[in-house]
Amino acid sequence: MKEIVPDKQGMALVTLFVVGNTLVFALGGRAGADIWLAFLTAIVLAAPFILLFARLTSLMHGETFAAGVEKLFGKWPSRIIALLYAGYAWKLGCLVVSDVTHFIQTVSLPTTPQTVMALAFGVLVIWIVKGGIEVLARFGSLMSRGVFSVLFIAFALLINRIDLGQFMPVMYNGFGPVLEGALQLIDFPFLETVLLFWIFDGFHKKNSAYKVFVPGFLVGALILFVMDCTSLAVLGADRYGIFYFPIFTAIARIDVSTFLTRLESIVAVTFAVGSFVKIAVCLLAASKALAYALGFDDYRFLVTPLVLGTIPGSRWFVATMMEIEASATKTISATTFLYHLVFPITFWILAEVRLYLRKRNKAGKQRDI
Amino acid sequence: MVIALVIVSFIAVGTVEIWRWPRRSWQKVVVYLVLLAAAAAFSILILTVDELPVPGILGPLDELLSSFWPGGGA
Repeated sequence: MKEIVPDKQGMALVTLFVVGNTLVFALGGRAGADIWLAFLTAIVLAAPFILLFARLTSLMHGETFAAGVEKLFGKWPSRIIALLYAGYAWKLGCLVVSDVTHFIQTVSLPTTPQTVMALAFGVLVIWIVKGGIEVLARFGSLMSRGVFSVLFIAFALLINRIDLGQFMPVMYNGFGPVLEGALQLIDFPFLETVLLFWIFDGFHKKNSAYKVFVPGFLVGALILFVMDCTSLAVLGADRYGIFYFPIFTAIARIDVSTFLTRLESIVAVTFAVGSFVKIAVCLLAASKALAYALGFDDYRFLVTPLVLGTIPGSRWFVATMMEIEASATKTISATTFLYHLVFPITFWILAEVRLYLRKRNKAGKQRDI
Repeated sequence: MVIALVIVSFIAVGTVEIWRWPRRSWQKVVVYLVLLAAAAAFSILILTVDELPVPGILGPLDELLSSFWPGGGA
Protein backbone atom coordinates (compact mmCIF):
# COMPACT_ATOMS: atom_id res chain seq x y z
CA MET A 1 0.00 0.00 0.00
CA LYS A 2 1.29 3.44 -0.94
CA GLU A 3 1.88 5.90 1.87
CA ILE A 4 1.07 9.48 0.83
CA VAL A 5 2.60 12.34 2.80
CA PRO A 6 0.93 15.80 2.94
CA ASP A 7 3.09 18.60 1.50
CA LYS A 8 3.59 20.48 4.77
CA GLN A 9 4.66 17.36 6.65
CA GLY A 10 7.02 16.44 3.82
CA MET A 11 8.51 19.92 3.92
CA ALA A 12 9.05 19.73 7.70
CA LEU A 13 10.76 16.36 7.21
CA VAL A 14 13.12 17.78 4.57
CA THR A 15 13.96 20.75 6.83
CA LEU A 16 14.65 18.52 9.84
CA PHE A 17 16.75 16.23 7.64
CA VAL A 18 18.90 19.19 6.50
CA VAL A 19 19.25 20.65 10.02
CA GLY A 20 19.38 17.18 11.64
CA ASN A 21 22.80 16.28 12.92
CA THR A 22 24.59 19.21 11.27
CA LEU A 23 23.61 21.98 13.64
CA VAL A 24 26.39 21.59 16.19
CA PHE A 25 29.37 21.20 13.86
CA ALA A 26 31.62 23.97 12.56
CA LEU A 27 29.98 24.00 9.11
CA GLY A 28 31.84 25.92 6.42
CA GLY A 29 34.69 26.54 8.85
CA ARG A 30 37.26 26.79 6.05
CA ALA A 31 35.70 30.06 4.91
CA GLY A 32 36.61 31.69 8.25
CA ALA A 33 35.04 35.14 8.60
CA ASP A 34 33.45 34.76 5.16
CA ILE A 35 31.17 31.98 6.34
CA TRP A 36 28.10 34.00 5.32
CA LEU A 37 29.43 34.15 1.75
CA ALA A 38 30.18 30.41 1.84
CA PHE A 39 26.58 29.74 2.90
CA LEU A 40 25.15 31.94 0.15
CA THR A 41 27.45 30.34 -2.45
CA ALA A 42 26.51 26.84 -1.26
CA ILE A 43 22.78 27.63 -1.37
CA VAL A 44 23.11 29.04 -4.90
CA LEU A 45 25.16 26.02 -6.05
CA ALA A 46 22.89 23.45 -4.37
CA ALA A 47 19.55 25.02 -5.41
CA PRO A 48 19.66 23.75 -9.04
CA PHE A 49 20.24 20.21 -7.75
CA ILE A 50 17.34 20.49 -5.31
CA LEU A 51 15.17 21.66 -8.22
CA LEU A 52 16.48 18.70 -10.21
CA PHE A 53 15.51 16.32 -7.37
CA ALA A 54 12.04 17.89 -7.29
CA ARG A 55 11.67 17.67 -11.08
CA LEU A 56 12.74 14.02 -11.08
CA THR A 57 10.27 13.16 -8.31
CA SER A 58 7.59 15.08 -10.18
CA LEU A 59 8.32 13.14 -13.40
CA MET A 60 7.84 9.90 -11.46
CA HIS A 61 4.52 11.06 -10.01
CA GLY A 62 2.17 8.23 -9.18
CA GLU A 63 4.85 5.62 -8.56
CA THR A 64 7.71 4.98 -6.17
CA PHE A 65 11.21 6.13 -7.05
CA ALA A 66 12.34 2.50 -7.41
CA ALA A 67 9.57 1.83 -9.94
CA GLY A 68 10.56 4.98 -11.85
CA VAL A 69 14.23 3.93 -11.97
CA GLU A 70 13.14 0.49 -13.21
CA LYS A 71 11.33 2.16 -16.11
CA LEU A 72 14.51 4.06 -17.00
CA PHE A 73 17.10 1.30 -16.65
CA GLY A 74 15.25 -2.01 -16.68
CA LYS A 75 14.92 -4.58 -13.90
CA TRP A 76 18.46 -5.66 -13.02
CA PRO A 77 20.39 -2.38 -13.45
CA SER A 78 17.77 -0.63 -11.31
CA ARG A 79 18.19 -3.29 -8.62
CA ILE A 80 21.96 -2.71 -8.61
CA ILE A 81 21.37 1.05 -8.29
CA ALA A 82 18.95 0.42 -5.40
CA LEU A 83 21.56 -1.80 -3.70
CA LEU A 84 24.18 0.96 -4.02
CA TYR A 85 21.83 3.54 -2.54
CA ALA A 86 20.86 1.12 0.25
CA GLY A 87 24.55 0.81 1.16
CA TYR A 88 25.01 4.58 1.04
CA ALA A 89 21.91 5.22 3.19
CA TRP A 90 23.03 2.63 5.73
CA LYS A 91 26.53 4.14 5.90
CA LEU A 92 25.07 7.63 6.38
CA GLY A 93 22.84 6.23 9.15
CA CYS A 94 25.93 4.78 10.86
CA LEU A 95 27.71 8.15 10.64
CA VAL A 96 24.74 10.01 12.15
CA VAL A 97 24.50 7.47 15.00
CA SER A 98 28.21 7.99 15.57
CA ASP A 99 27.81 11.80 15.54
CA VAL A 100 24.99 11.91 18.04
CA THR A 101 26.35 9.29 20.44
CA HIS A 102 29.83 10.83 20.50
CA PHE A 103 28.27 14.26 21.00
CA ILE A 104 26.27 13.05 24.02
CA GLN A 105 29.33 11.23 25.37
CA THR A 106 31.52 14.32 24.94
CA VAL A 107 29.22 16.93 26.47
CA SER A 108 27.29 15.13 29.16
CA LEU A 109 27.76 11.36 29.64
CA PRO A 110 31.52 10.68 29.41
CA THR A 111 31.44 7.35 31.26
CA THR A 112 28.42 5.86 29.44
CA PRO A 113 29.50 3.46 26.67
CA GLN A 114 28.69 4.70 23.17
CA THR A 115 27.04 1.34 22.38
CA VAL A 116 24.42 1.85 25.09
CA MET A 117 23.34 5.19 23.63
CA ALA A 118 23.39 3.78 20.09
CA LEU A 119 21.17 0.90 21.26
CA ALA A 120 18.68 3.33 22.84
CA PHE A 121 18.45 5.29 19.58
CA GLY A 122 18.29 2.01 17.62
CA VAL A 123 15.22 0.71 19.47
CA LEU A 124 13.32 3.97 18.83
CA VAL A 125 14.42 4.04 15.19
CA ILE A 126 13.17 0.46 14.64
CA TRP A 127 9.83 1.51 16.08
CA ILE A 128 9.34 4.61 13.93
CA VAL A 129 10.74 3.13 10.68
CA LYS A 130 8.38 0.18 10.98
CA GLY A 131 5.58 2.73 11.42
CA GLY A 132 6.37 4.01 7.92
CA ILE A 133 6.84 7.37 6.22
CA GLU A 134 3.44 8.70 7.33
CA VAL A 135 4.31 8.26 11.01
CA LEU A 136 7.80 9.66 10.47
CA ALA A 137 6.48 12.73 8.60
CA ARG A 138 3.89 13.41 11.30
CA PHE A 139 6.59 13.10 13.99
CA GLY A 140 8.88 15.41 11.99
CA SER A 141 6.12 17.98 11.55
CA LEU A 142 5.37 17.97 15.28
CA MET A 143 9.00 18.06 16.40
CA SER A 144 10.04 20.73 13.90
CA ARG A 145 7.88 23.28 15.74
CA GLY A 146 9.70 22.60 19.02
CA VAL A 147 13.14 22.48 17.43
CA PHE A 148 12.71 25.72 15.48
CA SER A 149 11.17 27.55 18.48
CA VAL A 150 14.13 26.61 20.68
CA LEU A 151 16.59 27.73 18.03
CA PHE A 152 14.73 31.02 17.56
CA ILE A 153 14.77 31.71 21.31
CA ALA A 154 18.48 30.87 21.48
CA PHE A 155 19.15 33.22 18.57
CA ALA A 156 17.13 36.03 20.19
CA LEU A 157 19.04 35.67 23.46
CA LEU A 158 22.38 35.73 21.62
CA ILE A 159 21.67 38.94 19.70
CA ASN A 160 23.26 41.24 22.30
CA ARG A 161 26.51 39.22 22.15
CA ILE A 162 26.86 39.40 18.38
CA ASP A 163 29.89 41.31 17.12
CA LEU A 164 29.44 42.03 13.40
CA GLY A 165 33.09 43.13 13.22
CA GLN A 166 33.96 39.39 13.28
CA PHE A 167 32.84 39.19 9.63
CA MET A 168 35.49 41.75 8.60
CA PRO A 169 37.53 42.01 6.43
CA VAL A 170 35.47 40.53 3.62
CA MET A 171 37.35 37.99 1.44
CA TYR A 172 40.75 38.87 2.89
CA ASN A 173 42.15 35.56 1.55
CA GLY A 174 40.28 35.70 -1.77
CA PHE A 175 37.45 33.51 -3.03
CA GLY A 176 39.27 30.16 -2.52
CA PRO A 177 38.35 29.62 1.17
CA VAL A 178 34.77 30.73 0.44
CA LEU A 179 34.48 28.08 -2.26
CA GLU A 180 35.99 25.42 0.02
CA GLY A 181 33.52 26.37 2.76
CA ALA A 182 30.68 26.18 0.22
CA LEU A 183 31.82 22.72 -0.94
CA GLN A 184 31.90 21.58 2.70
CA LEU A 185 28.28 22.68 3.04
CA ILE A 186 27.20 21.07 -0.23
CA ASP A 187 28.76 17.77 0.84
CA PHE A 188 27.27 17.88 4.34
CA PRO A 189 24.33 18.43 4.59
CA PHE A 190 22.76 20.11 1.55
CA LEU A 191 22.92 17.38 -1.12
CA GLU A 192 22.37 14.53 1.30
CA THR A 193 18.69 15.29 0.61
CA VAL A 194 19.12 12.97 -2.39
CA LEU A 195 18.26 10.12 0.01
CA LEU A 196 14.73 11.46 0.38
CA PHE A 197 14.03 10.12 -3.13
CA TRP A 198 13.76 6.65 -1.66
CA ILE A 199 11.46 7.32 1.26
CA PHE A 200 8.51 9.10 -0.36
CA ASP A 201 6.05 6.73 -2.05
CA GLY A 202 4.16 9.64 -3.58
CA PHE A 203 2.55 13.02 -3.06
CA HIS A 204 -1.00 14.30 -3.52
CA LYS A 205 -0.29 16.38 -6.63
CA LYS A 206 2.26 16.34 -9.41
CA ASN A 207 3.81 19.66 -8.35
CA SER A 208 3.90 18.66 -4.66
CA ALA A 209 7.55 17.60 -4.98
CA TYR A 210 8.50 21.25 -5.60
CA LYS A 211 6.49 22.34 -2.55
CA VAL A 212 8.25 19.75 -0.42
CA PHE A 213 11.87 19.82 -1.58
CA VAL A 214 12.46 23.51 -2.41
CA PRO A 215 10.95 25.28 0.66
CA GLY A 216 12.14 22.44 2.93
CA PHE A 217 15.71 22.85 1.74
CA LEU A 218 15.62 26.66 1.84
CA VAL A 219 14.20 26.81 5.37
CA GLY A 220 16.79 24.28 6.59
CA ALA A 221 19.61 26.16 4.89
CA LEU A 222 18.37 29.47 6.34
CA ILE A 223 18.29 28.04 9.88
CA LEU A 224 21.85 26.71 9.54
CA PHE A 225 22.96 30.02 7.99
CA VAL A 226 21.53 32.11 10.85
CA MET A 227 22.72 29.83 13.64
CA ASP A 228 26.24 29.31 12.28
CA CYS A 229 26.78 32.99 11.44
CA THR A 230 25.53 33.87 14.94
CA SER A 231 27.95 31.38 16.50
CA LEU A 232 30.83 32.84 14.52
CA ALA A 233 29.85 36.41 15.44
CA VAL A 234 29.71 35.46 19.13
CA LEU A 235 32.86 33.33 19.29
CA GLY A 236 35.03 34.99 16.64
CA ALA A 237 36.24 33.59 13.32
CA ASP A 238 39.40 32.01 14.77
CA ARG A 239 37.64 30.17 17.58
CA TYR A 240 34.70 29.06 15.41
CA GLY A 241 36.93 26.64 13.50
CA ILE A 242 38.71 25.37 16.64
CA PHE A 243 35.70 24.15 18.62
CA TYR A 244 34.14 20.78 17.83
CA PHE A 245 30.68 22.20 18.66
CA PRO A 246 30.84 26.00 18.18
CA ILE A 247 27.09 26.62 18.47
CA PHE A 248 27.02 24.71 21.74
CA THR A 249 29.83 26.89 23.12
CA ALA A 250 28.19 30.09 21.84
CA ILE A 251 24.84 29.28 23.46
CA ALA A 252 26.60 28.40 26.73
CA ARG A 253 27.44 32.11 26.94
CA ILE A 254 23.79 33.14 27.26
CA ASP A 255 23.35 34.64 30.70
CA VAL A 256 20.21 36.63 31.51
CA SER A 257 20.92 38.26 34.92
CA THR A 258 22.46 34.97 36.15
CA PHE A 259 18.86 33.69 36.14
CA LEU A 260 18.64 32.08 32.71
CA THR A 261 21.84 30.15 31.98
CA ARG A 262 23.02 26.72 30.72
CA LEU A 263 20.64 26.84 27.75
CA GLU A 264 23.03 24.71 25.72
CA SER A 265 21.37 21.61 27.13
CA ILE A 266 18.14 22.55 25.28
CA VAL A 267 20.09 22.89 22.05
CA ALA A 268 21.59 19.46 22.72
CA VAL A 269 18.06 18.05 22.91
CA THR A 270 17.13 19.66 19.57
CA PHE A 271 20.30 18.16 18.09
CA ALA A 272 19.32 14.73 19.40
CA VAL A 273 15.79 15.06 17.95
CA GLY A 274 17.12 16.20 14.55
CA SER A 275 19.65 13.38 14.51
CA PHE A 276 16.96 10.86 15.40
CA VAL A 277 14.84 11.99 12.43
CA LYS A 278 17.87 11.82 10.14
CA ILE A 279 18.82 8.30 11.32
CA ALA A 280 15.21 7.20 10.79
CA VAL A 281 15.15 8.67 7.25
CA CYS A 282 18.46 6.97 6.39
CA LEU A 283 17.32 3.59 7.69
CA LEU A 284 13.92 3.92 6.00
CA ALA A 285 15.67 4.69 2.70
CA ALA A 286 18.10 1.79 3.23
CA SER A 287 15.27 -0.65 4.05
CA LYS A 288 13.11 0.40 1.08
CA ALA A 289 16.01 0.36 -1.38
CA LEU A 290 17.26 -3.02 -0.13
CA ALA A 291 13.75 -4.52 -0.24
CA TYR A 292 13.42 -3.39 -3.85
CA ALA A 293 16.91 -4.67 -4.73
CA LEU A 294 16.04 -8.11 -3.30
CA GLY A 295 12.65 -8.18 -5.03
CA PHE A 296 10.33 -7.76 -2.02
CA ASP A 297 7.27 -5.50 -1.82
CA ASP A 298 7.43 -5.06 1.94
CA TYR A 299 10.48 -3.47 3.59
CA ARG A 300 9.52 -3.74 7.27
CA PHE A 301 11.08 -7.16 7.91
CA LEU A 302 14.50 -5.72 6.93
CA VAL A 303 14.43 -2.86 9.43
CA THR A 304 15.63 -4.66 12.56
CA PRO A 305 18.82 -6.25 11.10
CA LEU A 306 19.75 -3.01 9.33
CA VAL A 307 19.26 -0.88 12.45
CA LEU A 308 21.13 -3.36 14.66
CA GLY A 309 23.94 -3.26 12.09
CA THR A 310 24.31 0.51 12.55
CA ILE A 311 25.41 0.04 16.17
CA PRO A 312 28.74 -1.65 15.30
CA GLY A 313 28.78 0.43 12.09
CA SER A 314 28.85 3.63 14.13
CA ARG A 315 32.18 2.48 15.61
CA TRP A 316 33.54 1.23 12.30
CA PHE A 317 33.48 4.18 9.89
CA VAL A 318 34.51 6.80 12.46
CA ALA A 319 35.80 5.85 15.89
CA THR A 320 36.86 9.10 17.56
CA MET A 321 35.61 12.67 17.88
CA MET A 322 38.50 13.88 15.70
CA GLU A 323 37.46 11.52 12.89
CA ILE A 324 33.85 12.67 13.20
CA GLU A 325 34.91 16.31 12.96
CA ALA A 326 37.06 15.52 9.91
CA SER A 327 34.19 13.64 8.26
CA ALA A 328 31.72 16.48 8.98
CA THR A 329 33.98 19.22 7.65
CA LYS A 330 35.48 17.55 4.56
CA THR A 331 34.90 19.01 1.12
CA ILE A 332 33.33 17.01 -1.72
CA SER A 333 34.22 13.30 -1.51
CA ALA A 334 33.96 10.53 -4.09
CA THR A 335 30.76 9.29 -2.43
CA THR A 336 29.18 12.73 -2.69
CA PHE A 337 30.33 13.05 -6.27
CA LEU A 338 28.68 9.78 -7.31
CA TYR A 339 25.52 9.62 -5.22
CA HIS A 340 24.70 13.33 -5.02
CA LEU A 341 25.71 14.48 -8.51
CA VAL A 342 26.45 11.78 -11.11
CA PHE A 343 23.53 9.40 -10.42
CA PRO A 344 20.75 12.04 -10.03
CA ILE A 345 21.89 13.93 -13.16
CA THR A 346 21.92 10.65 -15.12
CA PHE A 347 18.43 9.75 -13.85
CA TRP A 348 17.14 13.20 -14.78
CA ILE A 349 18.60 13.21 -18.30
CA LEU A 350 17.21 9.73 -19.01
CA ALA A 351 13.80 10.66 -17.58
CA GLU A 352 13.60 13.79 -19.76
CA VAL A 353 14.67 11.83 -22.86
CA ARG A 354 12.09 9.13 -22.13
CA LEU A 355 9.39 11.75 -21.61
CA TYR A 356 10.34 13.48 -24.87
CA LEU A 357 10.23 10.20 -26.80
CA ARG A 358 6.87 9.24 -25.30
CA LYS A 359 5.42 12.64 -26.16
CA ARG A 360 6.69 12.38 -29.73
CA ASN A 361 5.46 8.81 -30.26
CA LYS A 362 2.02 9.40 -28.82
CA ALA A 363 1.71 13.00 -30.08
CA GLY A 364 -0.20 13.70 -26.91
CA LYS A 365 0.24 15.57 -23.65
CA GLN A 366 2.28 12.98 -21.76
CA ARG A 367 3.46 14.55 -18.51
CA ASP A 368 5.32 11.80 -16.67
CA ILE A 369 7.60 8.94 -17.59
CA MET B 1 31.32 -12.97 28.10
CA VAL B 2 30.31 -9.91 26.07
CA ILE B 3 30.42 -11.96 22.87
CA ALA B 4 28.09 -14.55 24.39
CA LEU B 5 25.74 -11.75 25.44
CA VAL B 6 25.73 -10.34 21.89
CA ILE B 7 24.97 -13.76 20.37
CA VAL B 8 22.18 -14.50 22.86
CA SER B 9 20.67 -11.03 22.29
CA PHE B 10 20.61 -11.46 18.52
CA ILE B 11 19.08 -14.95 18.82
CA ALA B 12 16.41 -13.58 21.18
CA VAL B 13 15.59 -10.65 18.87
CA GLY B 14 15.39 -12.94 15.82
CA THR B 15 13.21 -15.54 17.56
CA VAL B 16 10.74 -13.03 18.98
CA GLU B 17 10.46 -11.05 15.75
CA ILE B 18 9.93 -14.03 13.43
CA TRP B 19 7.43 -15.50 15.91
CA ARG B 20 5.41 -12.25 15.77
CA TRP B 21 5.21 -12.08 11.95
CA PRO B 22 1.65 -12.67 10.72
CA ARG B 23 2.92 -14.53 7.61
CA ARG B 24 6.29 -16.25 7.30
CA SER B 25 7.30 -16.83 3.69
CA TRP B 26 10.54 -18.81 3.55
CA GLN B 27 12.21 -16.18 1.30
CA LYS B 28 11.66 -13.46 3.88
CA VAL B 29 12.80 -15.69 6.75
CA VAL B 30 16.02 -16.62 4.91
CA VAL B 31 16.88 -13.01 4.01
CA TYR B 32 16.06 -11.86 7.54
CA LEU B 33 18.22 -14.56 9.15
CA VAL B 34 21.16 -13.88 6.79
CA LEU B 35 21.05 -10.15 7.55
CA LEU B 36 20.68 -10.72 11.29
CA ALA B 37 23.61 -13.17 11.27
CA ALA B 38 25.68 -10.61 9.34
CA ALA B 39 24.80 -7.91 11.90
CA ALA B 40 25.75 -10.27 14.75
CA ALA B 41 29.04 -11.25 13.09
CA PHE B 42 29.81 -7.59 12.42
CA SER B 43 29.13 -6.71 16.09
CA ILE B 44 31.48 -9.48 17.26
CA LEU B 45 34.18 -8.40 14.80
CA ILE B 46 33.98 -4.81 16.05
CA LEU B 47 34.34 -6.08 19.62
CA THR B 48 37.24 -8.43 18.94
CA VAL B 49 39.33 -6.76 16.23
CA ASP B 50 41.11 -3.48 16.93
CA GLU B 51 40.74 -1.05 14.03
CA LEU B 52 38.80 -3.24 11.62
CA PRO B 53 39.78 -1.92 8.15
CA VAL B 54 37.10 -0.05 6.20
CA PRO B 55 37.09 -1.07 2.52
CA GLY B 56 37.77 1.93 0.28
CA ILE B 57 35.75 1.02 -2.81
CA LEU B 58 35.93 4.55 -4.16
CA GLY B 59 39.56 5.05 -3.04
CA PRO B 60 41.08 6.05 -6.42
CA LEU B 61 38.31 8.59 -7.05
CA ASP B 62 38.82 10.00 -3.54
CA GLU B 63 42.56 10.36 -4.22
CA LEU B 64 41.81 12.19 -7.47
CA LEU B 65 39.42 14.59 -5.73
CA SER B 66 41.82 15.22 -2.83
CA SER B 67 44.50 16.22 -5.36
CA PHE B 68 42.27 19.17 -6.43
CA TRP B 69 42.06 20.83 -3.03
CA PRO B 70 43.19 20.05 0.54
CA GLY B 71 40.59 18.06 2.43
CA GLY B 72 38.88 16.85 -0.72
CA GLY B 73 37.90 13.21 -0.71
CA ALA B 74 38.57 11.70 2.73
